[in-house]
Amino acid sequence: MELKQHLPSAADLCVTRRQFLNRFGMGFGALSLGSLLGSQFMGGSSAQADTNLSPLVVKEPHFPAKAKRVIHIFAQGGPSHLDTWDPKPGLEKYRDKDVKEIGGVPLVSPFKFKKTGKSGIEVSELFPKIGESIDEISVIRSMYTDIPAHEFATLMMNTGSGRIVKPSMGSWSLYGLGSVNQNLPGFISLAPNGNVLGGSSNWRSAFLPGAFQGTMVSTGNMSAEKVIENLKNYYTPLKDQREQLDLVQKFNELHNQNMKREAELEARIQSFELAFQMQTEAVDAFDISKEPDHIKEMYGSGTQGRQMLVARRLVEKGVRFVQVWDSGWDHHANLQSVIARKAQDCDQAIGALLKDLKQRGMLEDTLVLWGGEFGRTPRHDRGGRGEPGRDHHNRSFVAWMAGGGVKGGNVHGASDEFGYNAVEDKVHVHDLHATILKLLGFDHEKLTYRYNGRDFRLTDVYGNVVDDLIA
Amino acid sequence: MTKMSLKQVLPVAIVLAGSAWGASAADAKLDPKQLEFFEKRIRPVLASACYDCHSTAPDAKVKGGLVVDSKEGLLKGGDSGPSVVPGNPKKSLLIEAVEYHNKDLKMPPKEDNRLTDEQVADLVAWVQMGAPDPRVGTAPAMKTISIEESRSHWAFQPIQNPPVPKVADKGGFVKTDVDRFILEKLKEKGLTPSPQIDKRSLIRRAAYDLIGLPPTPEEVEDFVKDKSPNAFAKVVDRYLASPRYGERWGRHWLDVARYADNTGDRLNRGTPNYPFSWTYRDYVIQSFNEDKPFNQFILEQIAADRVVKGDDKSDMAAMGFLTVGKRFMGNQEDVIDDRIDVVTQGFMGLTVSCARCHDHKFDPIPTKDYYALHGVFSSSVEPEKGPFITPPKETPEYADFKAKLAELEDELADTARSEYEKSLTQLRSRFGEVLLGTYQYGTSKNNAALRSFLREKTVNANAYEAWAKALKKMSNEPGPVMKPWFDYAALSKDEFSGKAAGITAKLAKDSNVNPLVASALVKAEPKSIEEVSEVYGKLFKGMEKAWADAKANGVAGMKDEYEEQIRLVLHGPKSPLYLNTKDARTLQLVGGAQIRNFENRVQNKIYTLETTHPGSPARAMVLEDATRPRDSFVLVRGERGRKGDPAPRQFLQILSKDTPQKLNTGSGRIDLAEAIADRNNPLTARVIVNRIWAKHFGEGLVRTISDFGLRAEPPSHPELLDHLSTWFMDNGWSIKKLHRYLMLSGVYQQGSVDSAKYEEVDPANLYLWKMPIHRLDFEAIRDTVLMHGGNLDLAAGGKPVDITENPSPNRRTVYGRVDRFALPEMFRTFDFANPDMTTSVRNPTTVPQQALFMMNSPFVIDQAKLMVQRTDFLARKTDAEKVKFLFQTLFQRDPSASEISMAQQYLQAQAAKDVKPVTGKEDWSYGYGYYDPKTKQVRFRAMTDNTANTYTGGKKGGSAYLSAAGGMPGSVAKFGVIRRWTAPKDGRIFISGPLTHKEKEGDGIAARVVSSRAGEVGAWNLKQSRQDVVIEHMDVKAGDTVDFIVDCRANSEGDRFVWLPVIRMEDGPEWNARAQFTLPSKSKEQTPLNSWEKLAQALFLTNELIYVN
Repeated sequence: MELKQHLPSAADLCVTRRQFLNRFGMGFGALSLGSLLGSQFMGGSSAQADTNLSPLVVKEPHFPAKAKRVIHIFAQGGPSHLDTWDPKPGLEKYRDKDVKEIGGVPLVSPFKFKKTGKSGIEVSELFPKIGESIDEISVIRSMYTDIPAHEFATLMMNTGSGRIVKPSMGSWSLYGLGSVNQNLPGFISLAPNGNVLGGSSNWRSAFLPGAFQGTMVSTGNMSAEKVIENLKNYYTPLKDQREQLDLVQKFNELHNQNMKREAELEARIQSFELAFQMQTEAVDAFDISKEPDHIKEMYGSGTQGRQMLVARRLVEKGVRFVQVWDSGWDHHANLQSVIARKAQDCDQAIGALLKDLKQRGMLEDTLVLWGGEFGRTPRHDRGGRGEPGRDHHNRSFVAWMAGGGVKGGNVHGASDEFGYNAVEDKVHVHDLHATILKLLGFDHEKLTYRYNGRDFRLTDVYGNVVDDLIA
Repeated sequence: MTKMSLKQVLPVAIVLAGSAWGASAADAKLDPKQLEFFEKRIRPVLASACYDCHSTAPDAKVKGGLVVDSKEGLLKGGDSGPSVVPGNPKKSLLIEAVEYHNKDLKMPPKEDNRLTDEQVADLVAWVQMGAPDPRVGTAPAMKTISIEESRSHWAFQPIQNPPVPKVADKGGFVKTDVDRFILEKLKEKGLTPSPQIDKRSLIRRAAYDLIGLPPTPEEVEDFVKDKSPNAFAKVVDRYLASPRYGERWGRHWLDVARYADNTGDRLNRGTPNYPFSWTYRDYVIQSFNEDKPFNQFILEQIAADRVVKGDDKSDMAAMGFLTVGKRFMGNQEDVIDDRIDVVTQGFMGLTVSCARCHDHKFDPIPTKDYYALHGVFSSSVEPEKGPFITPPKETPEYADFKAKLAELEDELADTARSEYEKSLTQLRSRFGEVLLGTYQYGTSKNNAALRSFLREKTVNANAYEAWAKALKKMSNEPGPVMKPWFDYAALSKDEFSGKAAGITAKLAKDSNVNPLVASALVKAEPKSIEEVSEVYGKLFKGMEKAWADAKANGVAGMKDEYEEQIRLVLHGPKSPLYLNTKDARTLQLVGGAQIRNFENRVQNKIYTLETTHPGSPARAMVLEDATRPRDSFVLVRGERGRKGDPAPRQFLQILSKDTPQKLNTGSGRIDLAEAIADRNNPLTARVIVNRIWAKHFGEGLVRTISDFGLRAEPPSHPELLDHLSTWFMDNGWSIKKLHRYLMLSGVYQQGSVDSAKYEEVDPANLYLWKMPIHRLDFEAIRDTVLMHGGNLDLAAGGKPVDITENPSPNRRTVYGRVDRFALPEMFRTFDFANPDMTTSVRNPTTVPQQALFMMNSPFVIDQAKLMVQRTDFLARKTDAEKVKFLFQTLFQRDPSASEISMAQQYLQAQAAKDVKPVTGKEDWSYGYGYYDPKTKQVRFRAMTDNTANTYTGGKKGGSAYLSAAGGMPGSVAKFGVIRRWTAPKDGRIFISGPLTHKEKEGDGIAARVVSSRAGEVGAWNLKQSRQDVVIEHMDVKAGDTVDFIVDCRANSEGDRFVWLPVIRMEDGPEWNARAQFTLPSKSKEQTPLNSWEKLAQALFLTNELIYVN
């Protein structure tokens, strides 16, 4: 399979079974995790028999990665680009006029934009706090996608496929890079009630092995035990469990001697040790009460504040890919009031996240992606009741990225004068995916997985890297 | 733009005009002027704009199969066909692409890099002059795989029956012919097989292999004792005959069949269940159990509708193979693709679905072959209701089911009808808009401008289309109302203003025109078609209103003849609006989202009813041949609406000798099934034999189990594969016989001994110098744990159960519900097969979540507890015997002396922590109330609130509480606190125990002991004093209560007390109120495991339980 050529094979990881035995024959406990937990997926079928180690071992990508981890803030519902990141003051002259090009009367954005930062990028008054980090951000004003239907486009954004269940972006990242913290899932999806449009298809590993699956965490009722099934034993205190495991490992050691130490058996032994540690360490990751007050205040006490803070804690602990769901951007009516409320909830939190990552020195290798599944029409939504709103629109929308090797203070692409069609430097969702993989160190055409005789990839047969977004 | 540039190149074109164009001309020596033009104008453009993605250069890509860095590459073209047709720019895709008119074909793809008008014009001129091109080089051959050349690929060669190698066998390894093939290869490589494995390990290996469960200790002992030469054959036969066998091997096939119990779609917040997917699962299990010949198994799964004869229709369920896949939100193309995929990969190891968008890149499967099969599946339809598996009996459950179903179906029909009426009414008021639309945009809705017009006028596009087409027909016979419209509409935009007045002028006199229409038009004097449509719109709206009023009075039509004419245009049988209401699709389209949503909701309810109702009779999920089967067309790049060549239904070319077999009996499914099950098909037997080999030996003889194409790994033992394939077919395609043949071989029965030396020679164990160890899969782990807990429910078949519940149902895992939409964590953690696509090999991973499941899940803990409650465990007398029992049961062997001592040491160390179970605590209850001397009864209400260590009186009780040692009454005498003992049996009791009150404030407390049989048996008032409460010799019957009541007397200050009653029964048992005091547990904490339970669980956690060698 393709990957073999570009990722270290099992042999490169020094873990053919024979070498493994020679090198690590001293038994379990003496091994570092990284060396023990190789992958059986990287080596193609003939090498598969040689190792049987954890699929989540840290792997080197094709070329040095600028981004080591990702926080994907998914503004689900189709946020209006025209009120957030793609100002169209020119619409004013069409106010109350029927404009053929957009199929109706334009809704002139009720929000003001202000040139911000050194780059002077115009930032909507909806996002003053995010605006403070504008010089870290690349705004893409020429996104487009295939279909303006929520579920299809949501899956498209997360998996590169609207209907057929394919592995999600996070699963591909985890597959390619592994995870530095084996005590937590390497790919975590956060949502206030755990229930999002499209459900688990958004974080599925599909045909990739289950170890690369995302784990949904309901942040409304957040506890590590809910995140990781069977994390807590309600029968046996930890100390007793340790004694029990010691006995198990003694039996295993005898068994191993008979079996001449199969690497596979060693890996399973080690997995119990990991599981034991996980019970205490995973709990800590979700406990935001451990944060100092000034940090909690900085993020704010709203839903997004809580989510962003957890997201930061998770990436700090080595989780490779965190997705934060911020649903409710579907503004068919009452745009002015509803979108303002929506933005208020997340502006402080996202602004804080960017600054917090920066002050910890993490922004440079943490990629933050913000965006929805599509944008909204420049014209009034005819179906909406109440004050005006906008309809679904796939021909032009926005996304922005920050950190992780992204060019800061940058605007890429443009839509037409109405914000109806992306026209300059258009970026399809596949192109965005190709670019994200590039930042993570991958040639998107070569990060493949062979399944049923076919090499699959995140970008299917599409995708062009947008070099202008990369610093 | 083009004009100007053309001028520039005109001289060249003229010079060349006399020569003959086309490929032959281009082959001739190039005119120097042509050459110059090419080098100056064309080559630089191609090189800078195209080569990055379309050239043979080492670092370039070859997108769409197209290279443009050679003449041949351009002429041959890519996936979409030739790029350049010399002399014909209009037919040249290259030109189409650079012109940027086709939104789906724009090159270069980035707008930024778009060619200048001048560059485009140059290219056009160049193609026009015959595309003279001096470049040599060949297009890469990778695009199309030649079918003829591919025939030599081993997998497409006929299956041979190679001679069995003669090979010397000194070690007594050879047991069957299989071994001779193996031994020959081993010798070639200088390897020898591992020694025969011990009997205990062998029976464990055989049991897990065949039935997915461990052997019982009795089975093990029988086998160990059996010294006869066919002892192992008996074991194999016994497991093959077990109904557990089909559950194990059926599940392997269900992986291939991407089995799941729901569609994977999400509709109205529900995911539709397949109510009857389980009938397919049971069919598969049963087929394995009855050893259905595999060729028959193929026929039934693809075409049971044609092969199942007789009254017993249960095998119709076989077609679940095709129908239990994902439904892709109703996208039929994807559904067909899924079916083609599961059939071709499942039976033949070919990835035909790769050819959906382009000729297969690696295998000799052209797109045409894909669409040949596409025709077969698009000519197969699912009936609304599948046939009954067995005719339902008229039971009360069935009657109830039918009644409930009818209710839902009525609801559906009623609502659909009324929603439809509503939308029709709305449409009638849009008549003017539709008329205008047809004038301006025609009848097809596939027009962006029209769609935007319709959106603006809020006209449903689907309705519009149906309606516009009906109008078009009407133009032949317009009738008095519509005639003027068609007259006006015949005018073009330009002539309208000139000629409309003429039409209007004639109207009044025209007897063929409805006078109401005529006068309205005359009055309006329309100057544009818009105005005409407005007149009509108003007329019809007015008529709708008038008709609504008239209808309310119960008339059948308008009285006025002319009004009736207008009404009939909207309501009459010839009305263009009289859409076919029986056509469900039209109805849906017109009714729009409301009807669809509603239908989905009710349909989901129907699915749920069918899934859950006990009276719901099982149906088979079948396909039937469409009444008019049809061939499909190639869809270029798999895109709808890009029709290519017709693709007659026929079998794959690579598997056909000359003319491919036609697939045209009905849909052609039966022909397809027969072509697959044909003895001469080189793939079918090899693929299934290899699958079965792989399950026994860990890897296939061909390691790419689902891919036998050109990129497949060649078989490690090609002759053996053919030998087995021939043997298999000669033996009636019997899978059970094949198991037996394989398992009785020496290679199967060898040990798993590792060898450093051999590891160097053959690290992948390709030549089978040992049997690889393997880990139990998800089903085997769960079933094993259940079996050891003594609780495995061996009931077979039926509706799926939810095994993720706690406590978990005790059924075998194969009967667990497979939720494709949200595959439960547990399934994923243990690498369950991907239910979205056919799975040949599960990818085993080792992750800590698996360890957590074994360590912490209530499921495993429960079974560990149950294991040491088994009577056969308890029957063992000594600790050592008990440890032995555990090892024998779990590992099929006795523990070593050191293992016994390790276990005993552990037990001793843990015993100190064992919590002695407190018995009798359930005989105490806690409440409040008072003693009524008149009735001699106690008014007792249970306390429902509690803190960490007391019961409290809740809102009513103020600070009243009861603790282990005492408590405090409420602030009124009727709120005494009561500790109640209920006699569990008859007997004579003695009560004793000190009662203490210490506090200064208030008037102290009143205490009494009351029996439900005897009333008050003792009463005391205390203040700052101590009383030894003793009641001697009281007889109680089971169920009697004794209450210890304390109240506050008149003053509620300072009433805390300590009372430690003990009840002793004459024959021994004792109840201690303090020691047995218990609170309801709010936390999830459970009683800790005792030492034996912990030991049993520890053994569940070992590698030895999970690995089979």
